[in-house]
Amino acid sequence: MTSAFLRVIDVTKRYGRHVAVEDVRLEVGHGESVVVVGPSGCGKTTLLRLIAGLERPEAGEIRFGDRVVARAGRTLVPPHERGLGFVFQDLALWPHLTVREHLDFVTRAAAMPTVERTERAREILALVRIDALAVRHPHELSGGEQQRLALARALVARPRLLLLDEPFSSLDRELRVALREEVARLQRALRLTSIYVTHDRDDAQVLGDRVVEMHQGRVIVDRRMAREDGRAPF
Amino acid sequence: MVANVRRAIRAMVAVPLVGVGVVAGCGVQQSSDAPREVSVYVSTDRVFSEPVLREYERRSGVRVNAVYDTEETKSTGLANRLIAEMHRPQADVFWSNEPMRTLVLKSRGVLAPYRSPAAEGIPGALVDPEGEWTGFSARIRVIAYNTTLVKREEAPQSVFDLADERWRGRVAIADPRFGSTSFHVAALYAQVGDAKMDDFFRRLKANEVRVVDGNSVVRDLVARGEVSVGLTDTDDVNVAIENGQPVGMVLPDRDGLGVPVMPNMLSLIANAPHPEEGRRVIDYLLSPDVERMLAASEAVQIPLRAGVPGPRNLPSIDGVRPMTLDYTKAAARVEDVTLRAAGLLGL
Amino acid sequence: MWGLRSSRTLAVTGALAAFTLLCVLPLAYMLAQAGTAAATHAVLLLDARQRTLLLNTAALGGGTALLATLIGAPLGFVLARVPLRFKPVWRVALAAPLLLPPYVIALAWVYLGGSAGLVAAATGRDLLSGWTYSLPGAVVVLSLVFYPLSMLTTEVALRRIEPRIEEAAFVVAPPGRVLRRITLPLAAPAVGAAALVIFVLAVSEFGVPGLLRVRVFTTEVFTAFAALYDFSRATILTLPLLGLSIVVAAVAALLVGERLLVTRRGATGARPVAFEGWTRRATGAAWCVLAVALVAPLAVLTREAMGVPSVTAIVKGSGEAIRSSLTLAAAGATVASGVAVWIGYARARARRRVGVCADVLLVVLFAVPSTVVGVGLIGVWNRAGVFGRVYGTDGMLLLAYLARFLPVAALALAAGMRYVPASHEEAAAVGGAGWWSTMIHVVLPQVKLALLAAWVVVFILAFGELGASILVAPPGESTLPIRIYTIIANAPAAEVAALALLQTAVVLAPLSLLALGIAIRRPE
Repeated sequence: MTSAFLRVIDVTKRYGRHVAVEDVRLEVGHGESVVVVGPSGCGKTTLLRLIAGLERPEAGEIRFGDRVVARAGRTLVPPHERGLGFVFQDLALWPHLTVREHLDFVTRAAAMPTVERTERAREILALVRIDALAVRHPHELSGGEQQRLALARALVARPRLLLLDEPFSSLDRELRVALREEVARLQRALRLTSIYVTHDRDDAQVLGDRVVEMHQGRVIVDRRMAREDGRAPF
Repeated sequence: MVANVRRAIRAMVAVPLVGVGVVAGCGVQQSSDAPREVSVYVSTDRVFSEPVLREYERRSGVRVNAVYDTEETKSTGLANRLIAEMHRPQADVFWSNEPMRTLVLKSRGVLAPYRSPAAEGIPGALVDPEGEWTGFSARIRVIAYNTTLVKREEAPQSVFDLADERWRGRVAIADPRFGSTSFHVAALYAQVGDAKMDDFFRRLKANEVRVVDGNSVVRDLVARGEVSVGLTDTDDVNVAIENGQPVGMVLPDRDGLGVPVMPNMLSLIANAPHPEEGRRVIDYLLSPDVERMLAASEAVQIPLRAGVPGPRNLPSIDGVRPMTLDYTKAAARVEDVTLRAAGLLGL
Repeated sequence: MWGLRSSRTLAVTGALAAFTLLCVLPLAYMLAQAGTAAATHAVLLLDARQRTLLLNTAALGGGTALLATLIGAPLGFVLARVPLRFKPVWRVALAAPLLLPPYVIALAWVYLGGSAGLVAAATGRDLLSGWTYSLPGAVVVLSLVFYPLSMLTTEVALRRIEPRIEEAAFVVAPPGRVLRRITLPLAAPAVGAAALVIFVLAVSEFGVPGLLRVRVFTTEVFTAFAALYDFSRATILTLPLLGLSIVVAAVAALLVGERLLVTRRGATGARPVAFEGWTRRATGAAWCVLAVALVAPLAVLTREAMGVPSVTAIVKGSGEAIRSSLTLAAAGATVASGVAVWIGYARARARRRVGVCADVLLVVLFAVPSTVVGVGLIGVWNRAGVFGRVYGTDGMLLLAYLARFLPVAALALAAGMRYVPASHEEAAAVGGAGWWSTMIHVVLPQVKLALLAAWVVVFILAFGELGASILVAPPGESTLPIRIYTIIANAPAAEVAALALLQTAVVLAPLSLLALGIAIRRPE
């Protein structure tokens, strides 16, 4: 599978004596949607952070296509040059910026031309259905609206890879199901390559082409899902 | 760890209460049965006055609680404290190193009369007719010059020479609003009149005089050669000489106005808590012994009594003609003159 | 809201009563005394001289606040975010200038930059003296002393920011942009608050403008006391200074407002790797600041002090003064923190308008010149009865420290308290905990950093206090600054330098050990 979009090759990460991720090997193809499941502390969040470049691997190598972005002890491509969208577990919205400013920060950083920026912001807000809330600050949004903003922020610059770290874990079941459906819809509409970390196996059913299960820092299961809609994974 | 934090926090809660207790506790100390003691506020440099007071403690067995002053430009000083404490005085005696503050205190009613029998032999002009102050060992306002930059015979002989074109940019004086410089300026105004003095300060200003924050700074500037000459006090210059720095001194206006002699002054405080002990300390400080000690120390204070040996390197008081000065007249104008000179110098 | 819960009412009322007695009363006394003479001094408030003074004072305060922030805030960022080797050592070394009495630093700069100073001697030309004795000179000297306040505040503020919030930006933008648009705006309220405190410290400072001959309100107030013995004039000359502080504090309150961005404590997880590339530049900058703010002045003073024949006599006699200074400063810091914690609590839980007024009042009280406080204390405490029994004891020194520095402790703790959501208290109350128990187990543990900061700041300021303590120190007793300043009167420069170094060493040594001890127990 030489055309893999992302390859994580024998990556290890420790915090002091604690081994967070050990010899993990993972390949993700273009447009593939991978769900990583496992109990708390199994290393799935660390894996996501390693891919994003927020942590440095101690051993192994991470490649985006043919480009090595990190290898043992070194970050070769910084996070913002990896073309990522990242939805954090606690959302990490910027408290001093409005909804619109959140998107502007991302699109400006991506050097998007002004005209396109405005258009793109409108488009993405409509897509996640918070277009009426552009001038609000995060603390003026409901929980669901905050999640949508986090998602919009991750998508606005057309990332090559979307990383989601248990984004709906704090929501009530009804809202969680609704938003999960929405992410699945967006994935299909935008043909996104994505990695979704969760401890909820139901999520995997809805979102994943493939499920990777981790335990104590290692990948123990990696299997393709049988899709009800019969859509080819990629 | 958590236990530590809790303990620390409990302590923090208790602290305001304890603090109040501490303050109250301090108050109790005072009322223990009183050993003999006396409070002396001293503006004469601590290094010189402390040994003199320790000697008194040794001789009399009375504990001397001294409050010393800083250089006049470093804190507002003891005169203000005496004024502020006037309604319930804490000091028994004020020992000033120059006349101005004593005269201000007299005008504010801070002082009480005491004619010490020990004042015998001190010239009458240096004893207050009302008995509220008595002068003793004196310093002199002098012109200091840098001996590597200025030859002895070329050094200015009068303070008025300092406004001479020849010294442009090479003169330093201390801020005339404070300390012994304020005394000197007030004395000059009283002596030669406003018009002449105003003109002098105008010319000094035009001559780019350096006004610095103390007589010791003037001395240091002269010693370092940052300026060639400056107006300062005998004890300051002596420190430089003892340290082997290239500084010499001229007693100014010997031939004209007279040399500005500046006695220490002793006063009893009105309503002092220990008036009897206060009087005894004054008697001691006015004794020829103390004049001798101060003359022999680095303070190089010049004895006012004939017959007490003076400091080496300095002439005795008999050898110089002092500026004749009406202290009351000078004191009456101190505020006016201070502001005036400061205004002319652009301070 | 306050009435029913008696423990809370008791604590807060007690603290406010203590605050009024300690801080407000001396100033009120002075104003009342001056009030009777106000008519004759009305002219003081209007003439051209006053306008110059106001301008100079504002320039000194504003310039110092700005420059100290420009130096301190980036260093705070470096300490919080950029990987450095021996970071605890850097933190202590870079904070050390705050421990040096401003007057001592100014003295060092005079030795360095005066017309026969080291620079002139080395270059053969007088490059700096015109500059040293000037308003910009005073601004630079004060900034070099006060920048650590901005540095430490900025570091604490940045460490409070949830790392995820920055990481969310690192994923899409380069570090410089993240810093500008995300990190700094989040830290801005704290940086602004530090700048305000620096402003107040600068405008109420007397030693440096006095030495460098910059005419500001403090020197004018001083002159009214020292040259004219005119308490009313001095007090009235304080009013424009206080007015300026009110304006600046009010503007700051409006700008910063309640824009407190509650973010979770960022203790979890490792820091992002994003600022690693900055290590070299950061180290260079830190070295530069250290060289100018600490090494140069200390080296100059040491060089001067070499000329002293024997310091041993002076040092030997200072033991008692050192002990009493350390004890009193520690007691002052402890009592101030203990009272300020409740004032801070009351301020944090007050309605917005009341809170802003409280902030302004605290800033203004902190700005009152030391001499005015000292004379006010004499007026209030030197009287028959209970007060008089305290007067004439060491307790007065403690009261002087509290009168001057309780406001700044209260400001620091109010800022810390506002980060504790009221919901935490409510949760504890619902769970059945009494108010004291809630405070001790829920609220205070969350402000222990602010408590420590308040304690250290008050300790340092109290240890160096001269202006008020020399007016109220009991006869026969003295603190180290009093002893040093009474000894250096007219002493040669070498001795002055030696004593200045002694004062620095006495305060530097224990605090450095404390800081390093904490750093070793709690590695990064």
